[in-house]
Amino acid sequence: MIDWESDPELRALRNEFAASFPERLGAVRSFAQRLRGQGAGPHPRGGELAQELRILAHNLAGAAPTYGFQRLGEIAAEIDDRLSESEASISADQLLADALLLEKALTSCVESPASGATP
Amino acid sequence: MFRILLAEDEEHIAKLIDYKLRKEGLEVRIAKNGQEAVSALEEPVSEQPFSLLILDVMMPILDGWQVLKKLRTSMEERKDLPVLMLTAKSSEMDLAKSAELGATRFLKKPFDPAALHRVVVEMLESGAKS
Repeated sequence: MIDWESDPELRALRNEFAASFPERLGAVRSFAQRLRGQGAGPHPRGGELAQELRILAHNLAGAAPTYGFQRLGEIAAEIDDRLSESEASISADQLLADALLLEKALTSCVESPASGATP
Repeated sequence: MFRILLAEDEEHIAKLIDYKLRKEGLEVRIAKNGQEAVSALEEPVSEQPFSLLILDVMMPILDGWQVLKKLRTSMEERKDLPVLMLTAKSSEMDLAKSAELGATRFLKKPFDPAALHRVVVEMLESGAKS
């Protein structure tokens, strides 16, 4: 277990990671916006879009729990796992659902960083 | 001093590993993707005598498996370099693929930096060159 508070440099690294949440949230929101209203049928660029969202989730799945943001990491890992097994015929609605999940988790952390952190 | 090459595209993970290992007296060079890692490994061994490669799997341009395959099959001077795969991937198939390509050890993300340091020290003590 890392004691983030006793080492100023570690604390600064953790704060720097938390400061990356708004930019990540912006990327997820932008991704979700592009998918709205595109329906439940197979998306012609489904595989490519799934990979784009997966990279956003994958990076958080590794980094967030390492920095103590357990809940955010769990949600990101679920999305990462699901998208790693998705077919190229995945629908916009399926991708949008995962993007909204990630958006919600990130929003919680932006509004209240302690909410996603391990007590 | 041991010199370690760290290939990791998530900058916040890279910074945390760099800080932890530097604090323990190790020297770290960061590659931000697989291609940068290959470029570092292609530099003369006399200039970059790496003792260990810490390698993420999912990276842009070249992934960790592609880097590992290149290292083990076409870099004669480096082919025995110990490799620690640091990855969120942990399915049996992924681990088997890493082992087949020649990974030395594995550590799953999320990780405890102290555990990472312990594994690194074990690997360095069991054969890496200083």
